[in-house]
Amino acid sequence: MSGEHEYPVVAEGLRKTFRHTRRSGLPDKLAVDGVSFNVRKGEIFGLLGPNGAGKTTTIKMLSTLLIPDEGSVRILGMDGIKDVKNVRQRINLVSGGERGLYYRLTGRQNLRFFANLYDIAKVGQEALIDKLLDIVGLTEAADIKVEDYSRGMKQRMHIARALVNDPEILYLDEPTIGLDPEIARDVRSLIRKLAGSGKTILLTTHYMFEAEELCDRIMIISKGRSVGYGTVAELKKMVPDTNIIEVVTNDDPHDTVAKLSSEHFIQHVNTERIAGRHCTRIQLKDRTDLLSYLDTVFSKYGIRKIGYDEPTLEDIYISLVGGEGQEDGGHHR
Amino acid sequence: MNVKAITAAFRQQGTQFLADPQWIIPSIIAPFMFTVVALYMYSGAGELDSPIVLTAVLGGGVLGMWGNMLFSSGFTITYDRYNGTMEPIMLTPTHLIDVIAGRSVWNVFIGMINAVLVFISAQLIFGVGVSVADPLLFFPMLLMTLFSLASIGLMLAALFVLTRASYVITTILEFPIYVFSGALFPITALPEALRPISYIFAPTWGVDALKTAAISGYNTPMASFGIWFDVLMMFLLIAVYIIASYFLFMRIERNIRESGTLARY
Amino acid sequence: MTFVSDRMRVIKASCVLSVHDTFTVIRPAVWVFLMVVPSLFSMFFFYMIAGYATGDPDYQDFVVIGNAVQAIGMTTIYSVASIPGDQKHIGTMGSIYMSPSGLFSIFLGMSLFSILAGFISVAVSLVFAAFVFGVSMASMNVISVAVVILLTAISVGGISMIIGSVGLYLRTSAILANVFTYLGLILCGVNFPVTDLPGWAQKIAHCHPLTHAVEATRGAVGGSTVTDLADPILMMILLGIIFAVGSVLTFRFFEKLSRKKGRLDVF
Repeated sequence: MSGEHEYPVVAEGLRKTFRHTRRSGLPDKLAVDGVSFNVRKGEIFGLLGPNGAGKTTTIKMLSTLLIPDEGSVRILGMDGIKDVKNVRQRINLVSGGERGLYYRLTGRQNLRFFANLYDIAKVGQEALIDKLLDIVGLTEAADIKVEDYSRGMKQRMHIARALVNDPEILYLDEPTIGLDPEIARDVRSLIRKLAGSGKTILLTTHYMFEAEELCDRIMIISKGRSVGYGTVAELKKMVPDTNIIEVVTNDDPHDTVAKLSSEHFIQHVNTERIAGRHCTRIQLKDRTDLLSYLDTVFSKYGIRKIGYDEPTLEDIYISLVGGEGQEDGGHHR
Repeated sequence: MNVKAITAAFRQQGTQFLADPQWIIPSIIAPFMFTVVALYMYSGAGELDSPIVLTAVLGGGVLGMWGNMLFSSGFTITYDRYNGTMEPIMLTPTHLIDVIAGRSVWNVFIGMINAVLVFISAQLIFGVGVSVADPLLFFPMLLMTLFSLASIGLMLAALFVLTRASYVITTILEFPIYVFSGALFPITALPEALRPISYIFAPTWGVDALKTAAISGYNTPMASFGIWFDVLMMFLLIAVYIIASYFLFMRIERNIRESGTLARY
Repeated sequence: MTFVSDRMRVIKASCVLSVHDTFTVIRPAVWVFLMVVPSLFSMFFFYMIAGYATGDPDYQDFVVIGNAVQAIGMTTIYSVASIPGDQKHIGTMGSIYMSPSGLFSIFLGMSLFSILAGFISVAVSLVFAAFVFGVSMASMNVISVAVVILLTAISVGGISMIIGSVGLYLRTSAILANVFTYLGLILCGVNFPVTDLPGWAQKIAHCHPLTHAVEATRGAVGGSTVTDLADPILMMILLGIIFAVGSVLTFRFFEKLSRKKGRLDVF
């Protein structure tokens, strides 16, 4: 039982509907609709999807916080729904956000409290806390009240809290949401370090680059269902190279882009301004040769460069999920 | 029962309290004011020398402990919900009931400050000193009463988890104890039909036991069974409260895991 | 007149918001229940003590009416005094502040709801006094009772707004609100005559509108006309004006102080 499971996390046919009270007047919400996947030992697995796709609900079902309506969860060979006490000893979860710590206590006092809830022996508890503070780089802030922590310090404290029971499986729900770019980078390198130390990590994110950078395997979910599942390379095979055309122009091709986006042969098109140029990425629905057509259409904006491009994870995401929810993907480096 | 978790919760609540102790005021102000007003009323009626006043002072002390317990238990869950710490607690193998138990013990312990405050004001404003006839009996009774309050606190905290409007329950429950516990006037003054309500509150028996131990010759229909009957009743009621709390908390944990309303505030 | 009408709109919107705020957390029926239960219990509680201490039914009536008026404590004093503190706690102070409407108009609008609630709670409590505690209402002067309750709600609202203003600055305004609410029980002749208090406390009591409110209500229930009650009524009006002006001034003062020290969103 010492964690020698090839797949420490196995989810099968998870389904969850949230029933609202009659008074709220809201319809019931089917949050997760039959999701199955497994996570390999020691890998970083990503659940990717737009807001409201069911990522958090899924992670809660895998971490004993929520009982699925249907389906099963096996954690390290144990029943993840019934064998709660034993499962909880060996997993932990970090939720993004400002909340989740006792802000009138110091970081050390927070960790001490949770260490005791995990029944960590008093002998060695302080040493463990020092070690955790060191891992997340909060040694100097250990005896400051959490209310005086910055947003990034709080997030690192969340991670320290989640490491208190030395979990074999660590869930991270949007671990970098709302963080400054540099701090988010620190958190990502911390996540990689943890995976390197042998922990199995499952994270949710809606940042494409984050998933691409961190995850060994990914599941993309949309509206509670899986729409893509595999390594980044496997996912990229789902969209052929010849389907992506990139055009770099001097002037803003705004009008043409608007026109193109309603064409039946276009899956998705967007423009962004990079270093004074306008870079338009066009995803075609089928493998049709439209290079010369687009060359003509864009010529009036002064083409600097036009050609096929390799699909990024973002392209795949767009073709699988549709246009929704990608508005802030990819630009938060 | 997870002693380590209970101790940790006790300490957490304590540290948190000491970081910002003025928050005790809202929870003790009502019982304190009520007791002072009652003493004014008794003194206005020329009863200042009678044992009624001394019993009222003792009763006021118990009310103070109750007030603190009620508000702290009510707020403890709200605080975790608001603070987002409910989820991390639920994630641990520790049962919620152990965490709340530890906090309830701290809350009642702090409530003693309020009792002392009532005793001091009685001395300063009305010159009524608290003398204890049988200290050897009084202090164990005090501890037991405190424990009974903590066990009610535990049960109430469970009810608070189930509702968003813990403020509602707090408000509704604050006053019945004033009226029914016999703290500031004997329950024999209550209409007969209402008296059974008094008997199901452990503090009623605690108040009676404290008065019996503190005042020689104190006699009420309840005390005529003897102080040991008070003790027996407290034991029974404490057991009932704790068992009820256990089942409530089990249900709560199940509810939370099914509905996912845990994190919502 | 747009200045006035704009202001009125803000006041009205804030009032409506606080109605919605109240009723999303609890249902209206529960809210009424909540308003009434503590007042009913405290009436019963002090009624019992009055009976046990003296056995005098007149004294019991005295106590019941006093507590009926004190019912305004939770509904008006406490809720008005804690408005700014609550807003800071929820974290909406910043966005409210950013809006061009004066903060004070918003505060006033939110307070109006509580003042109205106070009026209702006293009225309901007086009904209890008659039907549950058997206080004779035979000689009651309905007009003076109505005038007195209305003035009570307004003047008490004014002093509560002063307390609330402090909440713009202090993080502990809830504590202040609480202490102030219950202080009325001792100071204002609710359960025993003000003359039982030490001299210095009596002086403070006369500056509290509730003291005059309790006195006037007892008179009105006993049949006094508005002219009979000229003294306490004029005192309430006078105090009401002083506190209304005072609340604007203290509000401005603490608003400025908080802006200077960046405490509008500190709690």
